[in-house]
Amino acid sequence: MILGVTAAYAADEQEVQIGTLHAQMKFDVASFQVKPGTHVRLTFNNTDEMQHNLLILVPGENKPLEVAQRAWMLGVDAVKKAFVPDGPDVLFHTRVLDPQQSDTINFTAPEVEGDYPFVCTLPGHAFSMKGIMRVNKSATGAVVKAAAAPPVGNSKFHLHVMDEPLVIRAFVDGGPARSISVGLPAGINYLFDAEECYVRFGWTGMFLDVGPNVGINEGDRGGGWCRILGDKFELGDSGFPISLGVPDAKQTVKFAGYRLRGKDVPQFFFTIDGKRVTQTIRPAALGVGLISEFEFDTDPGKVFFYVSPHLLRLSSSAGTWESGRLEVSAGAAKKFSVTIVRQAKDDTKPKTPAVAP
Amino acid sequence: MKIALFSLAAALLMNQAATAANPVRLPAGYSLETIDIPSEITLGVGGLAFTPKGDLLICTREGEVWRYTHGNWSRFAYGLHEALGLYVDPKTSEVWVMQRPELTKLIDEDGDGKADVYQTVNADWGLSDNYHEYAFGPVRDAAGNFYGTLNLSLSWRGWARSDRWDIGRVHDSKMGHAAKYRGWCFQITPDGKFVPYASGLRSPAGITINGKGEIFYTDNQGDWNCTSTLHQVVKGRFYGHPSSLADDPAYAGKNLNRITEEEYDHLRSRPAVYLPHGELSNSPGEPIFDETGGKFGPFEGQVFIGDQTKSNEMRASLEKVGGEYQGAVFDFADPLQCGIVRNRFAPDGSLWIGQTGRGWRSAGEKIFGLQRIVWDGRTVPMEMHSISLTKTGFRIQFTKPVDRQAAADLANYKIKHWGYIYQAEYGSPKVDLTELSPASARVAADGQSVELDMPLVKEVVYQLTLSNIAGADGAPMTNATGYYTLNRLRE
Repeated sequence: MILGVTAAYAADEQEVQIGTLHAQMKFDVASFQVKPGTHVRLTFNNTDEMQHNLLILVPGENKPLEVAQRAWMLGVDAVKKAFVPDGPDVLFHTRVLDPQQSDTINFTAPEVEGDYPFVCTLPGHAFSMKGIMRVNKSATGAVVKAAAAPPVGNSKFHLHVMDEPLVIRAFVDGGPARSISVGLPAGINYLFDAEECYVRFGWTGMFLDVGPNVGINEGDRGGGWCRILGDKFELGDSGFPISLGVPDAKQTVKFAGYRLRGKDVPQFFFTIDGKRVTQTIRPAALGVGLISEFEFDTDPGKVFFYVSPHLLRLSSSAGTWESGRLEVSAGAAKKFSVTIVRQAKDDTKPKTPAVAP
Repeated sequence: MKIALFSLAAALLMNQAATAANPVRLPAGYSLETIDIPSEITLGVGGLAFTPKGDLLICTREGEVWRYTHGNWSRFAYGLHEALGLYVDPKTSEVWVMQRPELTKLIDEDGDGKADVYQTVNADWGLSDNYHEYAFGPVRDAAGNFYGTLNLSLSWRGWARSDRWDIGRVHDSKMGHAAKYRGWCFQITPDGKFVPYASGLRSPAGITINGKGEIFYTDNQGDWNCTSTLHQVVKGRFYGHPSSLADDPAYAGKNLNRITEEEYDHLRSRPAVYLPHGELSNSPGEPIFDETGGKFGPFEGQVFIGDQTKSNEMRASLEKVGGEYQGAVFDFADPLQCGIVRNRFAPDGSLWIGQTGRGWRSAGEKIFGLQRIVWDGRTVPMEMHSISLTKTGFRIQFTKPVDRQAAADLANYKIKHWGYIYQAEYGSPKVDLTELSPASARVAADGQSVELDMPLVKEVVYQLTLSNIAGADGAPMTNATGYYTLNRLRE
């Protein structure tokens, strides 16, 4: 959808305006075009209700998330550095804008043709808040507006994670009757199955539409299935993943609850044949996925851990992998962690997404 | 608006006002107050409980627990799956909440007024996505056992909101059994074990325990339940809806559809009190015994029962006949602003009433609310205190001396009795409706009671309506009709 051509002051000057799609965690521009060497005057208007920034990066399909995750690891320095990590892959950037602020940056477009991503690096935003600056000799200056997400239910009932994780028990589309939805400030969400006691799947971006549970209109009964709002990702669901002592042990697993820890991630508790386990789940530092730490109250002996490994990158703090089976030896299994990350689509060959001329 | 619902945690919401709003019918000496709820809070009440310090905790169908203290609101917990009941330990202040999927202990480890640990106490009952699989309770006995009740699964296609709507029906009942222990009263022992306690429940929306450790629950009219009812729960008994028997080992391998209505009728225990459908009740919620020591007026020891659809508060007087409870039920306050599901007496003896109408429909304008009924501590209203069975009829006990002349006039009593059909079909008409007049009316010397003689038959409801009868002091009666469930005759 081409909405218009930006005003060109001279052959080598171009003005670009980028805003946000309100409450959708998106820029309102999917892509814009510039010719190599053009002097670009880019204004970012933060029309949203939360802070955002805009960084322009070197080409690479995975660059937005990669750079953003480096920004999220800045810790206490993040604010000081405006969520801009060090490194040659950040070309230009705005400051962090509060709601309703704007910032204009001037830069010269690269001489090398290519698709240069732009992204917001505030925690969790990069999964959906990104676009492309297409540098091309035949650029027309056309701007492709981002498509507004089709409305899901009534946005009044959309839960947004701010700076503290949210933990919600309710029916969820695609989850078991005993479902617990967790939204983390890092833009990663997951569904914990409190019947079988493991993480069923995750999703990035926006958290949960609880409208069907609460009841959208005054006369509604509620009690319906909540809808996940972001993009679902698989975590190798093959049932309860842990087997104690021997492969595929017959064991009784019981849910024991959870602990909220303010701004830190929540912890889940369950027992396997009476042995109590604490599972602490964090977003993976790199890529789209989760890292789960399992800590047993008493030494469980040898532990087997199962994941359906298709399209996943698996790693762990202990033990050895054989395809989707991790074996952690007795003595090492009292506390171990497993990282499950979606395989990047293609790290080596940057693909060019379809961009309107 | 960004959803404010869950960002309120830190906010302490202030509001002091409670406004008076009396219902159409309320006995003299009682007044009704409506608690103002901050507009940010959706308070579809699921449970009420007072802490030893006198704070009121309120859990909601929307999944939050609010603390209400001296007009201040603060959120104690959130993210619960349809919380329909609370228990607070009267000594330790520990808090338990009944969610649809489990009984949970809510622990505030760091003492900041918000629960941190949501500890699963027991989750051993079955749960599907069927809309009607509510979990009600908990109440706790002196030995530390918890009790709750589990709704059957709905078997109306569409309304059940589930593919599992057509499971476990008996004789085409409108409720079925899509998961384990649906339709049971259960016990959770102090060490967390699930004990199936009694079966045959249908839509048991309220459970209570009295000072003697006796447990009662209410059930809603429907299939296999001819009218709404109040039952005492006794371990091992079957209360009438056969779908739950799928989990009774005695019926393992048996086809419940091969057992006839007549056979189930012999197996079931009758309710202590029928709450006649339509004229008095429709969807009863939590019963609560008045054990306030007289702080709530002259009805100490009686049971107050709210109704979700009719938004009225009822009152029942129970007595044991032949070793089993039966008794009379009266209207008390009618109607309130919204459907009543929960009742709790505050330490000051006022009756707090938790309300929700969302989607279930109820009399009154509101979708949810909180009200309380307060007795002024002085005024004794002119009411039938209780109705008890004699060998030859009934004795009506009044709250204060009656106008003797009027009470002795047989023309002032209209009496009917009728039965109900125990059947798989939804509800029951009144059957064998009989009108009669008492043969005699003897007013006691102190004017506090009258004995009526009349023919007695069992397994029916007697409706006694008094007209033109007032107190000796001229005070009119507010609720002049009582409904006595006569299961057993006096020997």
